Amino acid sequence: MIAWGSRVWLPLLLALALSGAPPARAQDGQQSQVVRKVLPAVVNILAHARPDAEISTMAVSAPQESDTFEFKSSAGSGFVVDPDGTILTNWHVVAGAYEIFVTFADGTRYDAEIVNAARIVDLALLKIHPDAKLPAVVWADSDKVQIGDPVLAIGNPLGIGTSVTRGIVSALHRNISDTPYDDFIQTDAAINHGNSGGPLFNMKGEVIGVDSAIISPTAANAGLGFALPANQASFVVRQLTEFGWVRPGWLGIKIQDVTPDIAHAMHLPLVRGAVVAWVSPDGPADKAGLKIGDVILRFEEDSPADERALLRDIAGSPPGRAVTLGVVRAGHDVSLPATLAEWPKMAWEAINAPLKVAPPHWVIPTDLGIKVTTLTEQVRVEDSMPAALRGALVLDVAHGTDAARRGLTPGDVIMQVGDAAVDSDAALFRQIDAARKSGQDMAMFLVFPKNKGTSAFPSPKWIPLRLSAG
Amino acid sequence: MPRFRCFLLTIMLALLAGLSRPAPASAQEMQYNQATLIRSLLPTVVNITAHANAAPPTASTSAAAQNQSFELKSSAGSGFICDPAGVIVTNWHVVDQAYEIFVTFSDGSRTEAKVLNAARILDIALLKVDVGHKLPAVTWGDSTKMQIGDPVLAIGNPLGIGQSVTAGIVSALNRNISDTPYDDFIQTDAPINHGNSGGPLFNLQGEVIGINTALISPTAASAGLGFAIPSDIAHRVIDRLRTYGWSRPAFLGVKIQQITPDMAVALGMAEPTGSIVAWVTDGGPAAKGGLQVGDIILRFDNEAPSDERALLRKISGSTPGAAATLTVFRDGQTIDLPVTLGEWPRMAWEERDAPTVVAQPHWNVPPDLGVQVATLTDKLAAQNEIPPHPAATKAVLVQGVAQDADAARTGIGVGDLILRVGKTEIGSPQDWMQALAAARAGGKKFVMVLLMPKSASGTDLKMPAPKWLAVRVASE
Repeated sequence: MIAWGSRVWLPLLLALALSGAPPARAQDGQQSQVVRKVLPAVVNILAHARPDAEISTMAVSAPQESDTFEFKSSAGSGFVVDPDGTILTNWHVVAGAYEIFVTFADGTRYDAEIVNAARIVDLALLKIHPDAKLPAVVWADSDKVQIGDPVLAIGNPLGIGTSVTRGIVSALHRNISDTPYDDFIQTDAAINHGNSGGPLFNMKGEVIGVDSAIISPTAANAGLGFALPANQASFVVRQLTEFGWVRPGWLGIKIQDVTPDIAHAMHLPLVRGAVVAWVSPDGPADKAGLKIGDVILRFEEDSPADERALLRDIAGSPPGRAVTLGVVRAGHDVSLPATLAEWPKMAWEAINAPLKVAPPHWVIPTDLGIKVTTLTEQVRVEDSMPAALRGALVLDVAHGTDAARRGLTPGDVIMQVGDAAVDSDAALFRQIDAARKSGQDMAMFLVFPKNKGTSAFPSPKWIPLRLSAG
Repeated sequence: MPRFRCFLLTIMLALLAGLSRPAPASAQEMQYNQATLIRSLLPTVVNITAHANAAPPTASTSAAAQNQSFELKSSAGSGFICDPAGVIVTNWHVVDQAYEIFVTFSDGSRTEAKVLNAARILDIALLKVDVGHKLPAVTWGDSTKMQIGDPVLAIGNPLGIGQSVTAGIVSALNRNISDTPYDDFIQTDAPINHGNSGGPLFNLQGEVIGINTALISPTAASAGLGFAIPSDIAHRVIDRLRTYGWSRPAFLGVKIQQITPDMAVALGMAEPTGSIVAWVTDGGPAAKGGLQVGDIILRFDNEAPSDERALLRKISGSTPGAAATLTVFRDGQTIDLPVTLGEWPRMAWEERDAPTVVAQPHWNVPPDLGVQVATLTDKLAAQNEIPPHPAATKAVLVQGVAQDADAARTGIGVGDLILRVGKTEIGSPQDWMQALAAARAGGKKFVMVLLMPKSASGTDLKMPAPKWLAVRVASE
């Protein structure tokens, strides 16, 4: 009771004495300074994925001919971890992508490619080729983060553009069954789809986590966002950079949490640790004498609370390291010395290496999939178009073509191709041919959209269209 | 002139700041203090898991429940310790219909809890746990001192994911969301989700100023509109539950309605204020005091309740036997009526307010657990396309599971391989029956079953997939 009393009351008194303290001004100033400092290291990511791209264990999916331009466009976030142009993001942001664009807060945009990944923890490294060094983030020690600490999330929520949201750390070591190693930092800072891969900062502007997931009964933020802790993320980045793969330590066991029911059935005094369900023959655990049914309570000086904590201990240890496992077997404590091996690399890479997706091979119809006719006086009058308007009236646009994707619709009038005015259907196709012959794979089309603007205020617009597969 | 005014305002702000804020602290110190404060609050808050029968028996007697089907519904909520002896506050709706309640403390320890008492109308329940040592209890704050804009912290178990702290401000006070007859909610923008129910809302002194009880949202997720029962109501009712065994509200014997703007016009009133009497109970305190149907109650003990709900709170919050003065508008005149408050007839009140009791379900645990098994022979493996696996050289194949059996709920399914029961390897139906019988003979309620799930067979040997299940072998 006394112990509780002091633990509860001492901090309360401190809080009382200081709670009125903040010159809010100074804090706000500091906050915007932090944001200004870190913003150049955060990027928006746009990934174009093939809808048919399947996440398989095949390293490269075969190029496929496609006569449609349908693709999946998804938004995400990322941040610079190396000034030479390495960007960290979530694997799920770029999974299945055949082209990736990275945009900085100042609007600079780069093509990016996937250089490596640890899919099992949902991380990917992208490479861009900047002309100058980039500002990289500084990693915080995420073990020092405390519940209640104020945090800033920067990212690209729902793809609307770089946004900063503020909240506190709601919980630590959270398991959301996302990875086998779940140890998430939970925050009430508003995190939405598109924030994925973006950094979670402390008030010193150091990265404490990678915003990776939300839990919500709907698709929107419900105040429950989750960031992969910085220590885990920076470990993965270091390993990928140094060895080309995560190269985790390996014991060769299948373990699971001790649940209240399991503790009851096994007569364990505490609901703690991990019970062994399988030992790989001749693996490090087998050699150390670990048996199915053993409950592992200690890994070196650590007492992993559950399966995930033990898996983190094992995977984070360098292969070759000698460790001592503390085990309960038939009610007795047993100490087992074991030497960690390296994860069998092939097996690891099968579930972790990045999957490369070949860009689709577009097929562009000669007529771009559009049917046109020369614009007549009658249509001009009926549709209240300007009397001076001349061009090719679009009658039909084939589904799934580049023209359809870019918004060309029946009723539109094509006025120009590049610099050349077109006053008939024949003129339109002459200009397309000419552009192709001059080696262009894309051309600019000036279009007078149907039912847009009036004779007095016409609203033509330029649309780029692909002329060949390129 | 404008410049001068600006200047003056700045000085005044500075003075105010100087007066109310004696010790400026750096942002780091503030952050440190918030983390320290929260660390001290976490052990006072619990996660609650309630198990209810989703197919509840029609009658509430345990005899009728014996042969009813059982479907486990597990729901998550929150609570907080209000007495070191093991009394926990939560919402009634968190434990309503539960036959079994578990409380998990912030250190991960878990214990079973019983419903001690409840005030269902206010959606408050008290649970009792017995952990053999004192527990850290919260400190009650004064919700009447809270102001719109005050920072608050909600601690709870949103969506059942585990203990979480969210921050926000008081968005509104005295909010009516038609949840109880006395609605006086504190509204907050701290994210509150399902599962936060019953958890505390703290001020930044670490005192409980409300019980998070409801949210309003176009979806099931937090939309920044959370609602907490104010501590002044909650604390009073909890004190009464503990002192008297029921919430023992004072009784006036009237049915009242808020005066609406239309009523004010119809009644020739200048302002729509007060509550109009629609019914007076024969022989009740109001009748004895001379209150009549059609009277408009303007004041209770010289205080003007802001609305009908506020008047009901005044009445029920008073002590039975206390004298009060009702100021009433009748026939264009304002008159004072002295009344002596009574006590609600206890039986009638408890029918609506006392906790309801739910019987334990009957576990269906047949001798073979409802699991039919066959020895895994090469032929059977081939027929069922079970690839060889070093973990499953000796095993039985599950060929049938009774759907109403507890084993099915635990996760044993057709096509799974059973490898062991505890330390005993299982290679035949006889092994299976003998191992279960031995466990029962040893007085065990649960056994550990090592299973190779059907979905996992044939996976890479480096990624072995067997798993342990704790399976109930006895129905009691």
